[in-house]
Amino acid sequence: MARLLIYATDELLTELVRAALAGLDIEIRTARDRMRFEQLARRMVFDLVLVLEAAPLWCGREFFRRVRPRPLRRPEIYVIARHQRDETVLGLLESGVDQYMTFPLNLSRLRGKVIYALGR
Amino acid sequence: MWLMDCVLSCVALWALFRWRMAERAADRRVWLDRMHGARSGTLGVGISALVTRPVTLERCERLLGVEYALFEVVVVLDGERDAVMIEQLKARYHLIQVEYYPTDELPVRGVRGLYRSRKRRFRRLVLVDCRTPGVVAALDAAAEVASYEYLLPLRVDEYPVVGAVERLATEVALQPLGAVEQICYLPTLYVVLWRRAALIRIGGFAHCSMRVVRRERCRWVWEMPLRRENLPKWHSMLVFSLLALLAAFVWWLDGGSLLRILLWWMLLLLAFLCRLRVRQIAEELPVV
Amino acid sequence: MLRSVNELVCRVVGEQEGSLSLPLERAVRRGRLLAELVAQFTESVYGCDPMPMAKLMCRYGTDRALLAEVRRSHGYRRASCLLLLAQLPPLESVRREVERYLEDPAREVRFAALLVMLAAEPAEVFRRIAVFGEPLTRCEVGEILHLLRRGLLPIAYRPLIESENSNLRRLGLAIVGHFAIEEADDVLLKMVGEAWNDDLSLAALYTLGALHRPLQRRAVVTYVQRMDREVRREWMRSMAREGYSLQQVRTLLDEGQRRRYVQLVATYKRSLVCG
Repeated sequence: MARLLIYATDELLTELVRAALAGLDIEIRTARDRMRFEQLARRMVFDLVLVLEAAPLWCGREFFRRVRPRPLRRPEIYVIARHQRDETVLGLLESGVDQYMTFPLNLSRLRGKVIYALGR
Repeated sequence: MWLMDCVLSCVALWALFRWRMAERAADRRVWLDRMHGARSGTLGVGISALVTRPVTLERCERLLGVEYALFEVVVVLDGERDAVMIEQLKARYHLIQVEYYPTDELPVRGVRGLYRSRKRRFRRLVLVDCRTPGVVAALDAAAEVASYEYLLPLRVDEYPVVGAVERLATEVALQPLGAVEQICYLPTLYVVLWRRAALIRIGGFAHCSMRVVRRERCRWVWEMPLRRENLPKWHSMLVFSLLALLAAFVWWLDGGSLLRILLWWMLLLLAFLCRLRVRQIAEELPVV
Repeated sequence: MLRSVNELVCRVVGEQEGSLSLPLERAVRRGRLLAELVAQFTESVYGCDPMPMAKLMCRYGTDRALLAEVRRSHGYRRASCLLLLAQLPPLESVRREVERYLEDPAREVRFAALLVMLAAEPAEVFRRIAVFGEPLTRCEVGEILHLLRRGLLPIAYRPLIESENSNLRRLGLAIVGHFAIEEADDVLLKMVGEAWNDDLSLAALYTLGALHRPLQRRAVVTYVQRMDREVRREWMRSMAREGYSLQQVRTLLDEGQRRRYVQLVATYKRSLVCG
């Protein structure tokens, strides 16, 4: 069974994404803060990480290294946020994010992307 | 006796008034939070936070964690006193030295170097190595190199509350372009946000104190968007206890009726409860 | 509550039918919680049919509860409730009731009521914006743009930007800037050259900069030379931040300003020492 980690401070967004992925053969874990995220990353190996905001990648903590140590490219990290400026998006992609999507989100499209990512 | 009546009545009235204004500010906060412009980056209002000593990595991380897109953090450190922190920041955020040219806009002296990140995701952090005799000089140095039009000077251990930067940007964007030069926190007349052009016009932070640049270009707010952590909780209780003791002493000296001292204490209790409610409203949101 | 949200969302996305669990039912009798959830949902998701949510809201009287709160409150609270209504799927009862708040004494209420009407009647968008009594601020234009991004309003920028009405032009400018529509270059230039509306001309100039369009054109040169010193200094910083080199703005600046501009641009670059 594939493992997916959702990192988001907003409970509703987490549940929206979880609902969009309902029925798939995935174990979904959620983290609302950095401590919980690091705890989960230490204990389990994930196949995909969804981050529902951009700030964790800007602040310099690099805590995503816990879940994806160099030089591995797995798990993939998808970021979903509201930013649209080129500079912001390029910065996120440069930091190692594999896909960036904006809100408002198409849940069916997200589901398709997750299925494709986990199937590879 | 009558003096004490007046004083305590004024204290109670002021506390009631503050409470009413705090409730109104909270309503305004909810209304501002419903605006989408700041979250989706359509406002076009940039804010530069100016940070002086003490600086820690954690402080930088927290400030850089502000989600608002048009936001940067300008940190001023003295290379002689804070060499270790400068090296840590350079390593953590991949900072490289860029060219620095002094201007005549603000009275800045002693800048040894200006650093920006080679990584796009850390471009919101700017480091100034400056020999600074004090906070004011450091703020001027930071203001000089700030990229955005609006400046948010942060005092020691001060952080914006969650959503404060977005709300400040929205406050600015609610007025025509260039119409807002300052945003002031009314109860203490503290200028929270400066427009860079206004600061240059008055000659820098050394001349600002509580000065309002142009009244029609100042926005007044009743909710403080910045807060120190670990605020002492006992201040209010101590102040009101002292006032109650003072009232009791005056009553005992003048030999007033029981009703009077009860009335005074009730006024103080009312004021204390209003103060608590104001504090509760202010602490509804955590700092970043 | 989380399980209930899950069921709510599943119902909306069509995964499964079923009744809501009890905790949420208790909460929705107040109407507000459901409204907040649905509003956050519509803000975060697109492509879902709003009808199930609209039916849910009618079933629990959310619209009635919110409208009652709008009637009871005033000022910012009323404006907040109206903004919340604007985010919800449009209902006829809401539209009829909210129309009178277009005349409210408080500007924030009038604008929030306008948003509700725009969301409820997309066909009337341009007419309503044109007759809105005051110039729209950047924040208000951003809110209308948000409706657009939700797919509620058309994106046709040209009739807006060429309109006589300043509010429609502001909206058109915002659409051009937000969607980076370079084809609007000619109209932007024309707006910069217009002497009668400085506010819009300045906004058009900044939009040209945001789109990285060539600036060394007569209309822009004339406008920049007329600019106030402080405004021009701010504009220069903005262009340096956008990445314009000195060559691209040379004719717009005098000698002193060129020196300053070179210095501004240099602070974004590392000097490479050879030899």
